[in-house]
Amino acid sequence: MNISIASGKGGTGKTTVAVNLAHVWANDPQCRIHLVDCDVEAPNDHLFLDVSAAETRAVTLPKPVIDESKCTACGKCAKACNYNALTVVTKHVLLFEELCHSCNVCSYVCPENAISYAPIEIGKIHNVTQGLPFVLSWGELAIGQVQAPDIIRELRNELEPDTINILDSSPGCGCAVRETLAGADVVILVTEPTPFGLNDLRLAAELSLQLGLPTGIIINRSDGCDKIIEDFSRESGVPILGRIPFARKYAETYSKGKILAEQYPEIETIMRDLCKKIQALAKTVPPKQSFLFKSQTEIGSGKFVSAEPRDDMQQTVVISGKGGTGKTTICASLAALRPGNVFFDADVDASNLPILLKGERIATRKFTSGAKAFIDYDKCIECGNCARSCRFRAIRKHEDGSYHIAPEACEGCGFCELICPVKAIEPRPADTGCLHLSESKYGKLSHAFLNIGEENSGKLVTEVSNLALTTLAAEKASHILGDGSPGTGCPVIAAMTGCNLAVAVTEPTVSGVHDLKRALKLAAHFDITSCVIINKADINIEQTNEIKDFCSEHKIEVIGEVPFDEAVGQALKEGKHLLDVSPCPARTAIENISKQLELKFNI
Amino acid sequence: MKLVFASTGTNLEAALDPRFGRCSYFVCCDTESKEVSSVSNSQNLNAAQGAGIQAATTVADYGADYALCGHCGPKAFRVLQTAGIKVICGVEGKISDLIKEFEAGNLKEVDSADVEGHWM
Repeated sequence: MNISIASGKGGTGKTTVAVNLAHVWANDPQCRIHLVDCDVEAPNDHLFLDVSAAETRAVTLPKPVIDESKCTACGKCAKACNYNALTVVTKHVLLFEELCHSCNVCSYVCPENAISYAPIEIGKIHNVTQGLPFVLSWGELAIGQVQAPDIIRELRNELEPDTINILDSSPGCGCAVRETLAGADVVILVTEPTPFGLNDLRLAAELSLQLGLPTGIIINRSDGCDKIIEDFSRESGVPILGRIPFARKYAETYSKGKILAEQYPEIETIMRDLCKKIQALAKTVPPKQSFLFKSQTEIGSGKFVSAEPRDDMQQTVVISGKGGTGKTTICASLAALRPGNVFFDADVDASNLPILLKGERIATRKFTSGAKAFIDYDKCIECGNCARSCRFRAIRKHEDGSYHIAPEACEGCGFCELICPVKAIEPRPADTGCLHLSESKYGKLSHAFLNIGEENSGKLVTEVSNLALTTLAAEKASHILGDGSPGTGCPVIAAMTGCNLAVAVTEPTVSGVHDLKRALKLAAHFDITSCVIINKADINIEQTNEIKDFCSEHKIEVIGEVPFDEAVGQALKEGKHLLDVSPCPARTAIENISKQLELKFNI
Repeated sequence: MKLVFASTGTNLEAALDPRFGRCSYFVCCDTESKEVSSVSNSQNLNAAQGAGIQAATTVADYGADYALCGHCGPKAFRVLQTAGIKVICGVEGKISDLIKEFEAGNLKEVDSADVEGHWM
């Protein structure tokens, strides 16, 4: 049985559930357990386990090799490559294999037959078969490579049918998650009982149900009254399988990289109960329906008001190396302290700032990115050449013999257009989402919605930040405050572009510290001044001190610390930011931080 | 000498763009003929990936001797190096000032990319 564990975004406790579930289920002598970490860009399940020796093997993909003796530098390959992986300068063909999607287009168009394919390592798979109560595997995408789904496919190929395979997915709803969910018998969605959690849960549930998979929910950080998720469960027919209570001791144990079920019998009981419920769920038929929020699909009918950017405009972005550090809460609270300015939400995968700032939609425009293949059925002779040659397995044969392109799997390489004998396939601009402008009590807000399963390239983020810029230019204010997307990839780079200051929010946990360093390195790379906010600073003083030491060594200011405060959890449940709740230690901390930002960085 | 600047605008009064692959314009300047032209880089600005490679190809196609930019990543550097274009990076300011600096011999070419690629 394959169990995929997913969530609309990071920081919900997906890894906690996966590791603890594997740990507890392994006590059943009847079952063989295999925990598979499919978050190949940031695998961290193994950080929670005592892993001494792992067997490692390389994952390869065929990449082009150019035979210089045959190549005439005609440039046809570079022109045909839709990924900009080839270029020709002064009679030399240069290949950038990390951008290559192994689509075969270049070798097909080469008139000299100078391009062949040879295997190149794109990452690794690690297996631990001894020393743990279960088998552990994790994939690791090599730095600079982009083909995460290929590593996940390799991991899935190793799964044995008579084993309980627990697959820990990467966050979001992109192609890597789709690959992790493929072939699952059950999907477990981990969420929090907050409006954000619900927003992200709807996206993840949409993807899982689109794929026709039995799906269940686990509520993390539950305080027993999780009405918001219960309502969704009732409305959608997606059952709640378990709840992990909200408690400071769990956060502390997690921050030390320890397994909760080992220390707390109540967690063990929850997990054991979950095992039973998962087995029962696997036999059910999932509901067929769409559950997207009105706020996710609503279209504004007004107009965008824009002007040429002025010189006095300043842009600040709040970043964090990973999700779930409290970035959006802090950003919304800082926004509430700066009314009249313009805000943006660069997290286009799961836009949450509009929920906290309670934005009302003003205007919307569609966003297209790249191209996808379309079949002209008047011309198609159903020869199947396209389906056989598609590297991404995006063209599928239906029962009636016709061929169909799965838009979410098509990566727009254009190979099918080239090989179609009757020219029945053409590229069309792909609709990948919507760009929105909303009005909130505190000012205008630009944000976006990326269609489910679309990969975020950073282009939509650039549109969001440009919209904030042109909107601000038409207003009197001079500041833009943006909520960056989590991680350190292309979308974050796009959100940082043009910023004067990056405020990095981190938490004192093993992964928090690791990810903060990456985020700060990125800001330094782009010559952007940065400062740090340590959220939940008091849950692990040791890690907090490590963060402070790191910052002072690199001359980065720690602008403030926010204590762990249960009032924050309550505020989020009600969809409020911290300026919207009665005074509490976290609110006081944010107000002080805001003053410091004004004093030291003039924002 | 043909100089190409990664620029925020279209003329010599514009400031250098700190980015190379995703700069707004390229301003091309021939120090002998004093001829100045500009090329929009908007196509690359919006490229999902490989912007630096395509931008460097644009610079190479112009037949530049030198490329001047705030920062240059490894992929763009490899293209420029293959095309025999010398790279000056880590500079900033108005293009007209940078030309003076260049002619005075104050700007030194670099022998490797000064920043890592985006995918760290």
